[in-house]
Amino acid sequence: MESTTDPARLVPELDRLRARVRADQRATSAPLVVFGVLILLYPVLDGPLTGPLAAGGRHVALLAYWPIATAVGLVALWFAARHRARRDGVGAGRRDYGHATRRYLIALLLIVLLMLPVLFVGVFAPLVWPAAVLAALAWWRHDTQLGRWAAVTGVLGGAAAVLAVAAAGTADAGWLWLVWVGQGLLGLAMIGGAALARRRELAAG
Amino acid sequence: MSTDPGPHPALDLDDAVHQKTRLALLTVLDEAERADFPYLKRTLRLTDGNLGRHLDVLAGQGLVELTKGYEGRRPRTWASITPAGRRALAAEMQVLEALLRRFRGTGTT
Repeated sequence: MESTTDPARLVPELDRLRARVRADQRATSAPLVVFGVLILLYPVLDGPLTGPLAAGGRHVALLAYWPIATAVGLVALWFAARHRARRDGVGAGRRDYGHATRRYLIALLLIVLLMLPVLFVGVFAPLVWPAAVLAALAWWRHDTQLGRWAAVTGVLGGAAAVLAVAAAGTADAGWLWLVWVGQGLLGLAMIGGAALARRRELAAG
Repeated sequence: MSTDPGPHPALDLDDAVHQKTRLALLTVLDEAERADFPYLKRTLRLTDGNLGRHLDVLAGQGLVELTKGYEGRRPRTWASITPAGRRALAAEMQVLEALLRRFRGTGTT
């Protein structure tokens, strides 16, 4: 940090210092890579993996995927942040993934106990679930870039769900495999976005 | 008719917090919640003595908390920001922003 007490220079310097700490925490790249991988895995589950299952088994697998995958993703982020704190000496901040995981699990428990239909979002609009989780994380951790990815995922997920519902009533729904491909591409794009975010984080560090 | 502009915002600056190294330390700890001695040294490019002195001042004011422990056989000191530290930092940033507005001539006088 440069030696200045001029507020016009001091305030931007403090902002840069905050950005550096967030870079050291991998605040943006870590959630992007985790949710990118989870989005990439979903079409695999929806296609080849559940192919041999009976229709009922497939529905249960799809119903359970996002609630469980989100918990696994948040726990992975929590443990990675703890590992970084031990290794690099930088804490994860007041709004850490431990708090996020606990809040998510409480919300999930309430959804299950109260049998709220929110669970079906993971089946009929699969990308809307991770979009909502990313949006909540972006809002909670004040991360604009994560918020943009959440918006893109939500819009694409909503559009895919509308197309799927429209196609359900028609005879020719053979093009629906494109939705799988689209989801896979979005997962790859998010992992690519994580790599770019990491490059920016390294530059800020 | 002249209006009383009130005291200059600079008079609201807290000496313990406004010192630039201590302000930087509080900013890092506000973002990270806690950080160890080597991380703070590396990030702010401070010497052991300099960092220790500034942390002692902040700890004396109740703005940070120092925790000494061991990891294996290696001693490790962590600094974490207290609620009073967060409040002091927020107040300092408000004063700095008021000063900026005044310098730019867009603030109320």
